[in-house]
Amino acid sequence: MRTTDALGAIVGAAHPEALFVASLGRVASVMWSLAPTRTLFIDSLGDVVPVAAGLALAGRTKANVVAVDTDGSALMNLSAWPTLARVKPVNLDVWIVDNARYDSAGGFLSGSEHLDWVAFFASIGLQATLCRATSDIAHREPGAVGIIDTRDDRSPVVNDKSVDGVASRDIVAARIAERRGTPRPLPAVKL
Amino acid sequence: MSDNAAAAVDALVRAGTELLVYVPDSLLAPLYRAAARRDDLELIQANDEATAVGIASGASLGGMRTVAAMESSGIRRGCESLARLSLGHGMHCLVLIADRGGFGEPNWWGINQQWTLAPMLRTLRIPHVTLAEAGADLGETIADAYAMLDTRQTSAGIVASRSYCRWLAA
Repeated sequence: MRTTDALGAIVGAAHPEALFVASLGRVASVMWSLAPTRTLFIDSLGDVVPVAAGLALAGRTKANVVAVDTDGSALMNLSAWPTLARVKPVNLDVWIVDNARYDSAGGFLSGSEHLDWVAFFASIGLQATLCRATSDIAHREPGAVGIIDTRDDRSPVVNDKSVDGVASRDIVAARIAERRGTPRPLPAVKL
Repeated sequence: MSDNAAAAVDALVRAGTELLVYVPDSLLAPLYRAAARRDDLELIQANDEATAVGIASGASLGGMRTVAAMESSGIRRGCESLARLSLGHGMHCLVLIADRGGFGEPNWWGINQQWTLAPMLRTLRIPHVTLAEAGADLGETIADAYAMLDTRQTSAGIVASRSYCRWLAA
């Protein structure tokens, strides 16, 4: 399925105040079009799920945190998954958009084409649901990691995301502070 | 359980720490065991330091006072995450580092950790201080570290010396 359709379904089904933590490349481009001020853009493979888990544990967003990871990112830090299996924040939803390649690097295969995601996650105490159509997204097992097959998505990637990591951090941090009802700590104690 | 380790955890909590994420190591193990007995401090064991840094950085962004604890080799293992998140995204965290390889290290595999710790902390632009003495005031140091994180400009590091770690275990 197309990444645009898959993420549109996920964003549409999420709580209206849900915060997203998104991986880079095509996923970032699509999330920028869908939820630009509710997405923390993480240009760091392997760190999407740990950051999302931490954000969820903080528990002060008072809404779900949705991690939108990618196959390359998920594979770069396999150590994160047993940790996630132990921690399992109840307000964290995890999706992996699997196009089986490093799009940003020129399309090299990621190795996920050989990976049995369901078996891998089962082996460490997590459930996974394969989603090959947008209708599968709605029927994902509650609490399962959703694996979205976008291997046939050849649509062009639009590069119009106008925030860097720091700007994204500030947008999301402000939203969190507003939701908590307490301001962020001041960045200086004197003028 | 060590009274000193319990006192150190007391200091962490009094300084506002709500979450301790760690990768097990023998030097800070007394601290982790003492922390596990608390109801007022969330404890997460991670399988690697990159994951610990990611969780700590995310939790910090969410408003949670967090410490990511590790042995000095963990800075090497977590280097890319520290660089990407702290230097690139302004998502900072406080790292508590056991000084494996410090003066007096009796294990051959520990020696090289000292060679790389200080240069890597400098390269990662992580200001750091060493708890040099047994019984050093962890609470005040942690509070100072959080004050630095609040500037949104930097992560911070606290290195627990071999003397401090021995005190933790006593």
